[in-house]
Amino acid sequence: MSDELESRLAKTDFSADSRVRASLRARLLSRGAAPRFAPSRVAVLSLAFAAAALLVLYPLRGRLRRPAEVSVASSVVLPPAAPAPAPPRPAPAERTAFPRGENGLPVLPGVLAARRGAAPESPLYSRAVGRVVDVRRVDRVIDVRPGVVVREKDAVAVVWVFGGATYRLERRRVTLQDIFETRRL
Amino acid sequence: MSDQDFAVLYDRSFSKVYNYVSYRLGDAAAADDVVSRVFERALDRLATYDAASGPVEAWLFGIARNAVADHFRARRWLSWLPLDVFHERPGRDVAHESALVEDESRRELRRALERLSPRERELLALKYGAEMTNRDIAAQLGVGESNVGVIVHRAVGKLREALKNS
Repeated sequence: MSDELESRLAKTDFSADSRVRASLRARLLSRGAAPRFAPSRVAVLSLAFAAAALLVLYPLRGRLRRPAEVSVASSVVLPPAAPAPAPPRPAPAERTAFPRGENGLPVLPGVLAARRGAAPESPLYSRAVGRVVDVRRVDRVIDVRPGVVVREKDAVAVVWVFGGATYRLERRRVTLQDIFETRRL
Repeated sequence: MSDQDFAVLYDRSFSKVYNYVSYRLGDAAAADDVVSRVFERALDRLATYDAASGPVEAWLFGIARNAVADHFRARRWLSWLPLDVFHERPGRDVAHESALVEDESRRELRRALERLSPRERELLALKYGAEMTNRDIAAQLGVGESNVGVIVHRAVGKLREALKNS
């Protein structure tokens, strides 16, 4: 019985029920084989999907990025810096002699103790400018909010935000001698 | 492989592929669709076939197995759709209607095959549809040759019972 069934299974040809055998053959042979490096439909669809995802996600990249620890909260438009004249180096005798405190360090008179709005408050010798300049206290409060551009007259400052604190750093023209101390043997 | 070679492959393999798919699906219309897909894919990937990797029929049956799996996957998704989508409309062509009439013996066999598990149907499909040896089936499915023999024997017994009851 089992052998009968097995021979029946072996003889059964389901392909006699096919309605596409001849038409499929004709269609496939008329179409011909695909070129060797032709991209498959799946590959084309994958590329299209990746391109669409890129188009959707690319504008979000800035919002998704984690904010940095230190960021410039606002920028200050600096007035165009006039080219500093290069006057001859003044004689040492012209320098302002600052009084010295009890510890022997020089004291800048009037700068820290000046009243608000009083100008000029104290003369200081600037090596960069090469002459004595007036020093004013810049203690006006600028409303600084992250992302807001601060346009302040005479405000030569860059505003940084470190965590919750706000710092305004003065910006000015400096020379190497202002930054580094040069010693002569 | 040239187009002429493909024509030879088609003529030589169509019945085996169709029988294999029919054992797995049990529905003549679905078998037509899946077999069409098998040979279309084979033609698309003809240039990728490497004779060193094995006989061309093994490569073709690899495509057929994937096509059948895709069919079952698609059917699983379709089962979520409401039945109204599949309103059957009577055909207008009388000739096509007559062509749908199946041989009673094959129809009886199809009904009996539905009683078997998917695994048993796959093994019978490879054994009697694709006309593979137990060794080839074992290599194709990655199981032991003796295991194939046991499962085929049980499946034939189960099929015999199903035919007797029908």
